[in-house]
Amino acid sequence: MDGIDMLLHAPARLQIAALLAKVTEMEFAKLRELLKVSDSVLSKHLAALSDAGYVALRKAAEGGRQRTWASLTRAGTRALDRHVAALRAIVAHLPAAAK
Amino acid sequence: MDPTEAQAALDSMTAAQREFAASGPKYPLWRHVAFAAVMGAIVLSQGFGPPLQILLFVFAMAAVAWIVADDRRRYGVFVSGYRKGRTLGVTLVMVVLLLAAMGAEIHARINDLSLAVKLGIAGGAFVVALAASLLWTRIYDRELQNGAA
Repeated sequence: MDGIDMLLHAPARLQIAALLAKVTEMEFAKLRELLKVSDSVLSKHLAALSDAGYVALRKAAEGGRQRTWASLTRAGTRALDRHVAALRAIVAHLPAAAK
Repeated sequence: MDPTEAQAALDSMTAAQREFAASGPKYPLWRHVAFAAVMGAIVLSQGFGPPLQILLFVFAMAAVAWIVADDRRRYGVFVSGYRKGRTLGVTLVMVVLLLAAMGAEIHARINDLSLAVKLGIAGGAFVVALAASLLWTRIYDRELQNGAA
């Protein structure tokens, strides 16, 4: 389907991208809190997004602890914009589909 | 993908952003005042020659770094003031006004105007930065609540 990004098709990955689109960087723990998923599930989604070049991951030592920060890359922003535009185009047909 | 699925995907995005709006950064008044004070100090630094100019500027830069680090530690996020979106207009207007204030401070220094004039210009910059910071946050919160992608 034109514009639909299969990587962002998974709800959790779409939510990660949508949240990162609103910030410059978000910490792993904050993402986990917002998405209400386990560490391992979030790690897998972030790894998939990172492998595709949609998300940049950065590790930083803060307060004696290692923290991971995630940010949406330009490629990720473009992919999210395309995906959302495609979703909206599909939704535009919703009244017709309901008839 | 059918329209119902697509709408559900869009709704899940909006829900995540609203959850962030509800549990995300709630900048207290002191945070806005601290930002405005730093901007005022940067503007005021231009009203003096070295070493006071350098001292004020270094202090302001250190304060910026501290505010950013505190935001990251406290909220688990960092949001650049220069981000794209509806907030960018507020940032650009503020930058233009602060640059004008810096120009006025330089004018005051070159023409050896009184300390009261220099403090007055910096005070104006403080008010501009405080108003911009409060407005910026309000627009950002509204953007999150609206759930625009």
